[in-house]
Amino acid sequence: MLINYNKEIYQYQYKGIFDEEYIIGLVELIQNEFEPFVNKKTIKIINFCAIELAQNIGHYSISKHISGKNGKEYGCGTIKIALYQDFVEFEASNLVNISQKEKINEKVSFYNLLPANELKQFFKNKIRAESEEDSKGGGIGFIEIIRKTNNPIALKFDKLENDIFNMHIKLLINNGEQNG
Amino acid sequence: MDNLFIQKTKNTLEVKLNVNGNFEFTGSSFPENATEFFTPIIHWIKQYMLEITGKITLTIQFDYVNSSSIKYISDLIDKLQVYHIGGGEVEIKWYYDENDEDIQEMGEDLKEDVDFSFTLIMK
Repeated sequence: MLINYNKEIYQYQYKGIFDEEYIIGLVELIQNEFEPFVNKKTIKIINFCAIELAQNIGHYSISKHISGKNGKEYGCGTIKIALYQDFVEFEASNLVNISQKEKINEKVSFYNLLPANELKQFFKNKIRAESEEDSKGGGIGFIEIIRKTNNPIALKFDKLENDIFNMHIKLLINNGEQNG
Repeated sequence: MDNLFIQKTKNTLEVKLNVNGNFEFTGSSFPENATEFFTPIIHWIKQYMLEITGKITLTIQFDYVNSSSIKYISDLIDKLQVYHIGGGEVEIKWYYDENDEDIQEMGEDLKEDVDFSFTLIMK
């Protein structure tokens, strides 16, 4: 897909704690700010990706803070959502350890290569399997992101100290017919 | 058994489980902890299948479902299929908006693996 970055319409950025209240607010923001520019189907995909990425950060980032709202501990990271004329670009980042890096890299690399029909079958098998020990969900978030966006997930890891990495995820969502 | 009612929030479903066998899930589902949210619901339904063994009519109207919730919904539908195979009567009514291909497709995917009545209905 040819990427045209020349016509950015809207950009949202956040750096901080990804607690429950923030994620609920993010969904509302997406509805309010993006709705004039994209169709309902694209809004739903944007919402899905935002929630999956945000909840992953909240659950799995090794940089943690206590939420002032409920006193629970949540992960910290960054998220950026940029709306261009023809697509929406997500960028998210958070700290991970080497074990997380290796698991995520292996999974995403595998999912990115599967053709759509095989990815669907893999997804159906996965939702029936036992959840992984360190997973707070079904382990299907990345699969569903690829299926819904029809684009691969781009991953990059910057090594920091002591086997800690800054993980960067980038997604592209094709912008459907705009509301008018 | 008593009925179970869970009030809707911005990120969790309204859930109505009635001992007469009418079950309803409505709204958006992206709970902070899907296990915590769905475990009592699945437990209640398992108890119904053991103690009451009546017909189950599950009406679903999702706005949005995150990946963690999809797993629990799928797990529940598998349990309903087992109940059906054991002689229990089950019906699912899966509602979706005209423009909501995601929810429609989710219903179609889940329908493929059951052989009880599973109807997709456009709102």
